[in-house]
Amino acid sequence: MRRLAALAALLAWSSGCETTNVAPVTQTGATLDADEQRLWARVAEERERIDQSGFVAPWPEVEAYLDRVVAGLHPGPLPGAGHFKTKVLIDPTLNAFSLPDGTIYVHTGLLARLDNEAQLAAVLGHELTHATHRHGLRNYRNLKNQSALFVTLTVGTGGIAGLLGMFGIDAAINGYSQDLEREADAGGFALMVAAGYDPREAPNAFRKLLEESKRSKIKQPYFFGSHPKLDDRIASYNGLIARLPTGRPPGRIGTVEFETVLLPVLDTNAEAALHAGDFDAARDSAERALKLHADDPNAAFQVAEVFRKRAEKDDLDHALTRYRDLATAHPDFAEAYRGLGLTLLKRGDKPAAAAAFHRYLALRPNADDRAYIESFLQQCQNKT
Amino acid sequence: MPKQNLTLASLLLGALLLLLAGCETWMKGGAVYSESKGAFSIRAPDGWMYATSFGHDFIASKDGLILQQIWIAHRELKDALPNSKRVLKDSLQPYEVAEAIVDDLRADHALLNLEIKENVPAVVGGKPGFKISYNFRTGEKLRLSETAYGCIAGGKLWLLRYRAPSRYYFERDAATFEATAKSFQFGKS
Repeated sequence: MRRLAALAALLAWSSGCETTNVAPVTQTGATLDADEQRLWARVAEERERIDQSGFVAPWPEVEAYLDRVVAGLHPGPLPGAGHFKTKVLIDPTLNAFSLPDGTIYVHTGLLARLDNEAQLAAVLGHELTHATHRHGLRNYRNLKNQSALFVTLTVGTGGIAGLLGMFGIDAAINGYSQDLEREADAGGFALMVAAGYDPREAPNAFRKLLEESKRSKIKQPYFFGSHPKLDDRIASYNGLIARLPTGRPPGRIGTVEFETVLLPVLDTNAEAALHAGDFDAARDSAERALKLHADDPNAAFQVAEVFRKRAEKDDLDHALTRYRDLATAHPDFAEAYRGLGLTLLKRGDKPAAAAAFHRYLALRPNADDRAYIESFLQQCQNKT
Repeated sequence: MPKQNLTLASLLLGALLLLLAGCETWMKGGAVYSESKGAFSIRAPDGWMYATSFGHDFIASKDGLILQQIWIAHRELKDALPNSKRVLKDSLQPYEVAEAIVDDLRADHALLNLEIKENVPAVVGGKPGFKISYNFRTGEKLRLSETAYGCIAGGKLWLLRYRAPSRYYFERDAATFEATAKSFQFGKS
């Protein structure tokens, strides 16, 4: 009986193991392996879930720009009917990820912290290498092999298989193994160099992430998962740069092109960071937007909101100044008066607060927060 | 594994499951429930069942937690916003607390297609607070509606919430929730 059980386990194990040595496809139209088809079906569900989440930014111009950068990197073909398509997720955290079918998602938080197109190319080159080198499939098979016995014994229940599918995709977002991440670093680097970008911007992108991780006191940025450590990756990129032939031209940086599409990203990221209570990130994004477009009322408003909501030390003074400047420059920007009223009320200047609230309601008679504003106006009438 | 051991393991597993199931004691509604330390009291809706577990101070449902639930929970101010780095302060006005909670909801990526329907001042257990109503979709594509009454009291954020599927159930039991929310009173502790 024991021998029979051992034989069954061995058969189950051997039937479940599949090679993780998956080569990148070299020809357009290459077909998907059977398990790859299942993985892609699961990916399609995940993609649909993400796309309908309300977190995908409705910015065709930004997407078109990102798609142009991807096309300029001349990535290799994808298996099946896969093609590259970039989308922006409204999320202030530092991340970008690609699905095996070539869909690349970049967070506003990451875009807002990059300096130029060359850094963006390093990020996108890394992500599309994950897809062209079929890292999703390799990860999926690896996980499946580790659990092959369990998978085989529970086949038909759907439970563990579905879970593995989820894990396979989850790695795309949370990071692959150290080896696969290094392969993507090297692949992405080669693409950005071949496309004529300045290779020195690749480690610079990671330095930005390292600075951000220190500022926000997280161990490692979310971006690219936690393997290998950012310091090691910067060293690894510097090693790749050192191996480049000497005397080559420095390459393109593309600051202007990148910043041309950045304004909605910065405005939206400032708002998203403010929602997440990351005041520094919100202010950084909004201040950068103001550097690009000094007259951007949304960015000016977000900076004022940072000061009002943080409300530390001299913040209310700064908030008042910012709201007043905004109201002067954009007299019809209703929310400036609401912020002004709230800040003045906190400072005890009830007449001025009342005037600001009245102006707000005059500009926004159907404001969602009208009931609150009316209660503040009542407070303003009270002597104490 | 020998047959006797397998039987014993099955029995132990069954007993454990029964024990775990028995840990959550559900009681019939229709009467006022007073929290054991006197923090609050509330009238549990008639025809509903309620419990004081599942990580909440009070939780009630009529047809099962998936179909509708009313629950009360309090949080320390420093941990009150699970999706935000922001820390609430005692000194904040209800508007500011509600604003921080709406921001926190917007930062919650588990709430897909979040739509804030209402955010108005409200009295909660006799204290100035807020009422926020919103809809969202889960990752499993279930559309849910939720109303949250809240306020800061005793240095803690108190939330009294009602959640149900947007289709049919939310509207059906909304009046019951409103009556239950009105019955909520803070105690002396």
